[in-house]
Amino acid sequence: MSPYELVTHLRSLPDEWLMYLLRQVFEQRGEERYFMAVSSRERDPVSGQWSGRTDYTAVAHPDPEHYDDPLDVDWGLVQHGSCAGCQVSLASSRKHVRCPLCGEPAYLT
Amino acid sequence: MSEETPEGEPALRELRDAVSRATVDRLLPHLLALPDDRLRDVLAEVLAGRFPYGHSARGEARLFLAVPGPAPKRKAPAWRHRAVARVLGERKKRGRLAFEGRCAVCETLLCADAPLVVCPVCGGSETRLGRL
Repeated sequence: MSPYELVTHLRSLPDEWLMYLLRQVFEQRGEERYFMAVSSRERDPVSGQWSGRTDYTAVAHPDPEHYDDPLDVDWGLVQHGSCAGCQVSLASSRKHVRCPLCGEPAYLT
Repeated sequence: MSEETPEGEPALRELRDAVSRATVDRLLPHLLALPDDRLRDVLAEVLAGRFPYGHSARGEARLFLAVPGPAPKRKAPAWRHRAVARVLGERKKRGRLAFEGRCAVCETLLCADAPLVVCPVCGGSETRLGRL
């Protein structure tokens, strides 16, 4: 499969499926310890100028101890919170998650 | 006659999930077979147009690939992890994320295996990184 085909297929996946696939890839490759994250920043709606600082959130994966099928939801990365272990901000499609950085369980709302 | 039925939405979701699952199963071996730098190139291309919360005049959110930075400080748990930047031009240390720096525009911590990169958070600003 060419890189172009790979990109095209990956673009077609919903966020939660893309996150699921990439987690499989990162775990099985075991080279660099990659994880996915979301940056967010605000801008003035009139001038279009960026304002304030950029916020960063790590994408957490559903905790397998709580879900038989981590992919039975389709509402995107709408759950938010933080990891009590490493204190990083977290986002996920599910409430019960594991931090991608330290592996601690977390509960998002 | 309307094509929308009470059963229509779950059926569509089942179809979408089946297609997504088949796509994941098909792509996984190809992604596992890619060299590390090619995997980063593919993901940079995929994520460049990915806005997980849609578009808004008041702000923007982007998905990006990251690698862990130093452990957080207990009293100042700021984000210390590095975004993997999109490489422009020739790679100097193929495969190793040996270049690091901050984006000149949004100050995001970046790393890459080449000095000239584009920040995945700004989406468009060229930045020159230094060797670690």
